[in-house]
Amino acid sequence: MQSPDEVAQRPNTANRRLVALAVFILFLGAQLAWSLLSDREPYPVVKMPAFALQAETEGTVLSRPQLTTITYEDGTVITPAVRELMGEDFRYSAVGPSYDYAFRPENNAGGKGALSDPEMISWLSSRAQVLNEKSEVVSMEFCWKDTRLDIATGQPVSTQPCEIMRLDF
Amino acid sequence: MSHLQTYVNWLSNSYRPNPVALGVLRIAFAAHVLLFPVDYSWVARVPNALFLPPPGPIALLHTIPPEWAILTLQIAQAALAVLVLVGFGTKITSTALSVVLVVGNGIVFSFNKVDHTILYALLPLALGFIGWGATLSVDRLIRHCVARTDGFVVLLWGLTVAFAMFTAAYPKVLTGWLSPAREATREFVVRDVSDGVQVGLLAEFMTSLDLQFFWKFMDWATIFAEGWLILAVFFPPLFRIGLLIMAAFHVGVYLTLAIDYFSYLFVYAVFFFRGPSTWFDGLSFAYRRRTGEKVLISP
Repeated sequence: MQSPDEVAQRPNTANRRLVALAVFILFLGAQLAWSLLSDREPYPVVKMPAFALQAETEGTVLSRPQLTTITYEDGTVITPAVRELMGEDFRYSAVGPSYDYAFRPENNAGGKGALSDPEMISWLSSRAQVLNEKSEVVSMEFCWKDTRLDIATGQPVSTQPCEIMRLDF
Repeated sequence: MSHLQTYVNWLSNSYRPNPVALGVLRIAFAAHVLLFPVDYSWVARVPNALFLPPPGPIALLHTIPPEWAILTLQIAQAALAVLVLVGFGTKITSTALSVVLVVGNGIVFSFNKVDHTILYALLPLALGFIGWGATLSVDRLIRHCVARTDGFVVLLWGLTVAFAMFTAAYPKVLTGWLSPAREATREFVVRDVSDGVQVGLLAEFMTSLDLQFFWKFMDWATIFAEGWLILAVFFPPLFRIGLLIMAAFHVGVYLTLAIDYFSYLFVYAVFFFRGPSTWFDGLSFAYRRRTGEKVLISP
């Protein structure tokens, strides 16, 4: 029986390796091309996070905080964190993006979107009851306001008024 | 044999791992899958309106899969992990485990966020063919064959890892991370602290650092650490140095942005499964050290 070194020295093995290497590099390139041509990130592809937001106004960065207010029949008003609202068992990395997708104004334009979906409304109602079991939920408001932060201090330098998405139960 | 063929053979030989260490990695990885499984169950409890599969095969699903299908996937993941752990039909079970991880992750990532765990999911496929079932396995007991590992497949795995890191580096270059006027790393830390969804232990401290040189250095260092691996992979000692830098980089990201890359220890480990004295063979300091050793033991 030949050792791995002896096998590697065989011309056929060496040729096969070169061809396999070339094909593999082409494959990686092809799936990168797919990724570049897609408007959303495809899956599965060999890719790592880019953290590649476009350059901001010098010295500041734009933030869009996720603010929810829930009002109950007995007058109780709560402002749960996003993770509380979506549920602790929701995958941690999907919490923020799913909240944005479901509740942002541009994704609910024209009365279409997650906030007009009966299954979603029922789910939000049940989530609200989990957060406060003592009273029935009346309404839920999602406030969207662009906030510009100073990167040196982390403090807001300008804040736009809320654009509110309201859901009455 | 051409120079290119000789070079590829040298690369393969330089990457060929120790089969026993690889067997230990197989057991550790399978145990990790069993002890810290990707949880698929929650997807059956959220509304379909949140389901937006990424472009690709998962997009063939138009609704969240039924609960029984999710449960089947979860059980298959655990059963395959057990088979990989004991090393039974290792190439086949490792490939199947990768398929289950890729499909399961695909469903979980259909909620508007693709996490970048693809290397972890593909690891059983790659390491199955490298030979992580060659020792400490049922396969070994049955077949009594010589334990062998394939350094060429490690080279392909190294290319995959390096390419993945490259896809993180070049978009940064295209979006101004190199510009002296921008402090991109700082922007992300500040934004994360402001959002408050997920911040690391050192995030508050980092935001207090008003050192422009430091932040610009972090931008450039990040791009370099991620980008140069695509070249370094063709010179194993440099690639190993690059992976050590990446490991330190992951720790830094965890402490500031709380993004957990510790599972990537499994991804990088195979490149170090040789005698430590051979890790940096080919670099001048390693040559001097080994020459020095010879002098010491020579009469």
